[in-house]
Amino acid sequence: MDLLNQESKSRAKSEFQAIILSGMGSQLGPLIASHGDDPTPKALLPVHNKPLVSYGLSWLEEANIKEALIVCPPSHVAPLTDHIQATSPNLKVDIKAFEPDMDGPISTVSILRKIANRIHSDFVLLSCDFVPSLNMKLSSLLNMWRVDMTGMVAASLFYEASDEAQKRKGKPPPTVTYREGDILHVSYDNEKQAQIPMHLLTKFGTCRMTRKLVDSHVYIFKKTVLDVLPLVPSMKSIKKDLIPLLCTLQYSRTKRRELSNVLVHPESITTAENVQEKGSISLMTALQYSTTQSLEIKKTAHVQRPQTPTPAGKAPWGSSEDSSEGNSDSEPEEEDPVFVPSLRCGLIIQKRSKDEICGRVDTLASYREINLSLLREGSLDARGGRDGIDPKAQISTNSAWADSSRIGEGSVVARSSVGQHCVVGKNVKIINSIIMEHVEIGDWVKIENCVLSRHTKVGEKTQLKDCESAPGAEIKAGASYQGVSLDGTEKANIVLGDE
Amino acid sequence: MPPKSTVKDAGVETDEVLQAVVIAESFNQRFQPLTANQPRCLLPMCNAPLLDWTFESLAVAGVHEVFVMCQSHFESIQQAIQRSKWSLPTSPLKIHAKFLPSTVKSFGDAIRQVDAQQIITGDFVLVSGDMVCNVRIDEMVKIHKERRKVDKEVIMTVLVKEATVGHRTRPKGETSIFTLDPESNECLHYEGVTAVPSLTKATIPKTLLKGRDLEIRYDLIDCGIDVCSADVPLLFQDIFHSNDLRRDFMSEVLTSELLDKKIYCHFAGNGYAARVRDPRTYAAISRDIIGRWCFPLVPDDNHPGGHQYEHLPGNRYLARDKVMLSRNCKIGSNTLIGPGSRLNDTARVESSILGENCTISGGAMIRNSYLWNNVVVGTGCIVKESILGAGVTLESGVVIEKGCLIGEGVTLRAHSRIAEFSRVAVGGNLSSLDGGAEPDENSDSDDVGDPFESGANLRYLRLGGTGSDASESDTEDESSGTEGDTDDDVSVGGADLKGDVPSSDPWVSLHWKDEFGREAFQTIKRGVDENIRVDDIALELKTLRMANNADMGRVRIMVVAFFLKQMPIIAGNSTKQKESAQEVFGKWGGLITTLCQGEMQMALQRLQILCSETEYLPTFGSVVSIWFLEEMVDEDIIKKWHALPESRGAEGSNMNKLWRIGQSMLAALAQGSDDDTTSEETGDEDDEDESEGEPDKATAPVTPKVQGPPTGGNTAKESDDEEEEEEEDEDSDDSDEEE
Repeated sequence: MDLLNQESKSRAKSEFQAIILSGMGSQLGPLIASHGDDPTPKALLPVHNKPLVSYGLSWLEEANIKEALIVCPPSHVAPLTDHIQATSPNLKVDIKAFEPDMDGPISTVSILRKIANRIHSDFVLLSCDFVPSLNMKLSSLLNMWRVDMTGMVAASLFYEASDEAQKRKGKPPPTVTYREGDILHVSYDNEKQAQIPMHLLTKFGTCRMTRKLVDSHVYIFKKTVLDVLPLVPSMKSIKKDLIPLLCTLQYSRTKRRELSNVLVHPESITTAENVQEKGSISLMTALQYSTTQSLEIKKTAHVQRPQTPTPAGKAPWGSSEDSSEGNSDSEPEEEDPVFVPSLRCGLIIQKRSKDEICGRVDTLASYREINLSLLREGSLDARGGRDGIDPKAQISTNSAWADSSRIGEGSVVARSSVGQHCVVGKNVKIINSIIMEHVEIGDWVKIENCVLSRHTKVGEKTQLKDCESAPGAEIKAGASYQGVSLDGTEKANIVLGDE
Repeated sequence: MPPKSTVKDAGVETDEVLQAVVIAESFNQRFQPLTANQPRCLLPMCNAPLLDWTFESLAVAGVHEVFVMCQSHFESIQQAIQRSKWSLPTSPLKIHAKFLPSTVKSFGDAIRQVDAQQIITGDFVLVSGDMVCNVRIDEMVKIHKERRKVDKEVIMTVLVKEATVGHRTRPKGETSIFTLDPESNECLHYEGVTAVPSLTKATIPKTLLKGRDLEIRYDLIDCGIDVCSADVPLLFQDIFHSNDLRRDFMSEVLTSELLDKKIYCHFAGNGYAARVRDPRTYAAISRDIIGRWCFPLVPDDNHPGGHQYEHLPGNRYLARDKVMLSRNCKIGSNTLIGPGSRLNDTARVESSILGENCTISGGAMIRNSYLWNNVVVGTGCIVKESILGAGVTLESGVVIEKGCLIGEGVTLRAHSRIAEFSRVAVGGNLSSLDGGAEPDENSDSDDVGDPFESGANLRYLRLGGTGSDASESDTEDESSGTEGDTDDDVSVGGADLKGDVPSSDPWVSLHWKDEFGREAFQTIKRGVDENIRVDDIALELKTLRMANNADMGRVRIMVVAFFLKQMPIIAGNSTKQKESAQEVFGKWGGLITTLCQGEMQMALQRLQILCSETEYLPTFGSVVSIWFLEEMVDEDIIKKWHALPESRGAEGSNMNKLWRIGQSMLAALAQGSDDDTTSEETGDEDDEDESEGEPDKATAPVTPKVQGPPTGGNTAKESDDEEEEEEEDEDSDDSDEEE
């Protein structure tokens, strides 16, 4: 059984490839500052004591995806490789650095353009900072795709933003127009009036408009979407440019005419006629996605494939349309409206439930929010043994800590997570805070609503409230801060000097 | 006009009489010239006045008291009400006709008048006088009252019906976008949409999105039925500039923050409700009634006009009274024949409505049209998708293209042709009557500022216009016809010299796959097999051609090919060959000449092409000489053919060989008889007008001749932008004749 699995894994082309985009995380402020020469990849920030990227990877694993490609900045390759090797997930993970862009700043679309040659099937694209909630399954999105594989060019997952996220300033939620199962229009503008193209209304008649939904940046794209990218060089962001463009294909006839041939190769459409008339294609499609086929059949299928477009591609339409008059010259014109499938942009909406949260960890605020909500859920596996913890320390049930951490006598940890290899002194109070790895906290320190990055050192009797620290920050003893970001030692000293 | 306080204190909630206000004035001119002598609400719809359908609908809906607000033709409306069954003591409705003074210029004014006359005691139903519905409005009123109990600011509930975007009772020229709260159906935003100027983006204020989702509906039919609270007329007093209930009043109420009033939508569900807004919806609703979509409002049960109809399979309705159908007439499905009507031999009526005492003569074809009372249609007439007013008389061979409105009492002279979307009225200057109804740029000045009544927009509201929009991204949903967009007259009978379709198979004309090709072939074949008179076949072919909008060239190609193929080839014996040609063309040559009159040189060319491409090559000379002997062609025609550049062909080709045969023939003729050719001419042009067998002048230039009615002696005038020049010609023609 195992043998068979091994074989199929290596030989059969997988149905979906996963692409994980890992950015710099520039909106996370001090948390991603490098510690000496050591960069801090966003993908490895601990969320509930687990690296951020592991949430996405295990989500992919759960959906039985076999292959993932992580694309990250060059400096992050080494730490990420180390992490993947250490954890050895079930799926095959490749890591690729994206080279800095010649023309302008790096954008998600430009990354996609660059890795296009590595993509060989329809692909799932997600960001490394996405934390799914427990009841949110990637397979529901994949299944939607499987149901209408020919009709869809993209599928995406939107979730209802939490109340806090809706109130948060700076990033207003997009105005999303959708109908059941399809996303029709997304706009990120700040105009006072929301606009809907009339073409959309004439095509669909009715639609819903909302500002509650947020793009999770989890997409499935048809492979042919990659061929569209060079045609529209102005595109920058997948979220703000590519998805809206693909949405317009559903109702704009001119766009459709431009791009439908690129997106859907006529011979690959499996209409009823196709299946009947060229049995080989339907057999091939079946084989293509079969995971237990042996290599020989795959080979023959590949040999057949290039042949099909010329003879079989024309025959069925030619016979049905032109036999009477025999005007073969107008053929491409005629098949156009008949055989182009719907070019849908699928949509799954994740409703917000009371105690589960999902979202992207792309800002400091959302980092806190997701950490705290995961603590609230209180999953047990994030809790270490009590070996390193003094019997007289109090740790609330909705906190998390690692085995290797030491917590001193009389300390109180409430609604907080304490990472690996931390040393917490005596009579320390940690409330509503996130303590990453290798943090040393002196005695009599009070920490409330803070995020302390790795290797932060906090001196004795310090009081911190609503603070963030950069990796390796050293906070002198006896100081008290509120609402500052302590990024690096010098600055901390200056602040201290002022006090 | 001070608002009266008693209006508000409609305290008795329990046993309240449900009131309805019917605005029987349309305030636009879309039905001109049909509405010249009668108000729109009295136009017949399925042989009963629209107003009666409205009353019937209101009675079905549980309304008790009706106020009819009318302005023009007040007396005739009053009389109509008195004469109708609603004035009987058993009537469930109490109907009062109220007069609107001439200062009332818009719907808004009319509502203000409702307030001034103080007839409203509580929540009431507001409809227009051209509505047909079977929805239980009283249910809607009940829901409205529930809402008002909770929230006093609810002033109106609008009845809407879900449909597809391109639904026929939802013509493109007048649609609307409703923005609703998905949970409560509260209407939050309203936008009226015209086809021209076309709207590219719908805008919705983002403030509406705060804390809730919006449902944007472009697929709703606005049924024109509202339940209003008594505040509505008062509000109209306040918002003095609002003239239209929807576009002005609703938009104002919804956008105004001061008023803070609420409007809800009510979905009609399975019910039927629609308004006759324009000729297009008139046709759509007529068809819906025939198709029994608004049961119990159907012609065969409790017909509002008091007629008795028999419902036959295929939704054919025959009046039980004095209908005379000849043995050979054809009645297609979805047809209603009014009492006293008469269909003569071979008359065809399809998907049409005939009023009382209509007469359809032999060979006439009525398709998708609405004939009101006492219409007389002559032999061989063709009427497509048009409305013919009461007492219209069509003499023989009249062709009415789609989308025409023919006013009351017009008589159209024999063989006239009315171009698409024309409006014809009795007596003089139509443009003054016409207002903005004509798609004519000049008339726009009448209604400055109302895009809904602009000429370009009204094109989408015409009968028969497809209204499909070239700029629209999705014609998949709509009929692909494009002719509705432009007024370009598709020249049905226009002499199309390029009729010869190049094709590899010379006999392809006998296997055309389209409807016309098949039917025409069958017709000719049957004619030959059953030995039918040439004139009859010609008539049938012509009708067929007109009906299918087929090209004259195609008929020519087919008929020449058909008869050439009838002729056996006798190689090497020109005498025998001539005999066989004589046999075929001696008998049937007349058909070719009748069908190709004036274009015989083209038929000759066709023959040449056919011969040059097939084994009939050696027979060309014989056939042409027979054609000449049978007087199908004369010397002039052969000369004309000879002069055609296409006839000559490339040097050395078969075409050229045949051309040379013709040339030698001409030379022989020139020597033989110089004098008698002229006397042999039959003078086609002269007898066209008289000959019954040739009802239309297919190939002659189009010159419609329109006669005034016998009493008035006026000349009717056509108003169609394309034909203005011809109109002048025609006027001079008429005056010539009078002299």
